Amino acid sequence: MFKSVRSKTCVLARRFSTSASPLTLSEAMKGPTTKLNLFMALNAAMDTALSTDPSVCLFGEDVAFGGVFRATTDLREKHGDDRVFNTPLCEQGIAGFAVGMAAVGATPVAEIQFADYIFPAFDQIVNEAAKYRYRSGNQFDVGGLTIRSPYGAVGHGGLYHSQSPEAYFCHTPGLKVVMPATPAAAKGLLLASIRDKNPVVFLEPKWLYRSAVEEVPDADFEVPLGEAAVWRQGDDVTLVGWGAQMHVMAEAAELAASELGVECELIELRTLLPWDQATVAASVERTGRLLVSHEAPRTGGLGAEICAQMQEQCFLRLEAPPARVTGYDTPFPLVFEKLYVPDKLKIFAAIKDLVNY
Amino acid sequence: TQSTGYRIGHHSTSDDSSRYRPNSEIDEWNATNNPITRLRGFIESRGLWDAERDAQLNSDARDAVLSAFREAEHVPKPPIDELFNDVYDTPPAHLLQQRDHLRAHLEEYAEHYQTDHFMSPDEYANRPNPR
Repeated sequence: MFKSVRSKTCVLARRFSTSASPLTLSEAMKGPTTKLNLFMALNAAMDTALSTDPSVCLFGEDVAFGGVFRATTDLREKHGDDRVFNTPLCEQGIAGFAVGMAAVGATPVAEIQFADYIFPAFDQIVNEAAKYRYRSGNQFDVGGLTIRSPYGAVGHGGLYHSQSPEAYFCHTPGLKVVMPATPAAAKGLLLASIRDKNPVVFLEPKWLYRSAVEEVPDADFEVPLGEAAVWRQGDDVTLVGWGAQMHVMAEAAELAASELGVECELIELRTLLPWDQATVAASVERTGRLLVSHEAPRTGGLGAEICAQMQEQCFLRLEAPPARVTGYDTPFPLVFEKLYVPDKLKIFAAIKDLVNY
Repeated sequence: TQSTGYRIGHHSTSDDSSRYRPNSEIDEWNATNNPITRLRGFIESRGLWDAERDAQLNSDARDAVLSAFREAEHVPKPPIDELFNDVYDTPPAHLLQQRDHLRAHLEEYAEHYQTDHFMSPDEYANRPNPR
């Protein structure tokens, strides 16, 4: 493994983005685009990263043949086996190795095959990666590090192929946590994450790998971290979500409009840490009603943080207590999945309660 | 004892293992080092087994598995309340609140949820012991 770190093809000199401002998504959309699903869009981002920065390398379990979700297809063939390679079945090792590489100037993109398996790597991520810059007074950092991992319900995943662990990482200063919900933005978010000068945990909604399809710009572009996106404008209720749950909330918003005449504003955070408080607060100031929804369990979930912060900032404006529609406080069940998840009807019911408070 | 085996089949129904190992490798293990094949060869050579009995065994085993599948598919799932059980030895208050919330939600939106494949609590309490 150390041989490849010192080899000429994986250059230990991180190339920061040379342009002062990279192409934005809307600028890139004016150029040529290709219809891609989520895993293809992520593949395109990794291909671009590997092509534009010789310090980028990509590794994880089964990554070499293309990955169990095909996100890394053809990258080894294109960029070489010393930049795209398999690791042993050892998440602590994958993360630790990635921390080490980033510490000496590489730009490692480490894959954890399912977010449910990220916990053996937790110490490396939380105690090493997140604190590297702070504990050395900025003498050293692992800013080049990106860890990407599929998360979330998939219909049959059960306890250990369905988890949403974002809250654990959002509770860790020093990390950034990013989660796409659509292919085009995903490409830009992954490129921005790889190039960001801080360690990023990039969670990918496996539910959407094949089912989310849209035109994705061919160009090299970035979607800025720390900025939320407004999917739908409305004056009655602010809905906040991320990842696969966005599509459930979009359906609930439609239902609220048609059944109740309630217009919801739907906001996708995209970056969960640091999350875009300003955009959410501006919306809540207008609507006076907030609902956050996530698959992850209710207690200590990111919804609690958002509700607490918005309550503090917008208290006098609120017409009703901020609502959370989430998974229950149980391990992710198998046969009960359909009843466990925060579906559109549960969100619809909560919207109804908010406007009738 | 420590034993080393070889996985002849794919990792799962969503895996195509020929993408990361040559078919010739699978064929070689299967042909020369499959313990089931070797045992069959051994008992055949001792006159204790033959091809006809082998075919019958395979057929009977297949029938047994398929009929167990069919039966199992018709067994209803545990009651919905079980979603909240066994997180702890006894459910804490917040979990009971969530259970009540789900119950109320399923009642109000009953026509949107398929719940008849879940047992009732009584059925569950009186279910036969499979042993």
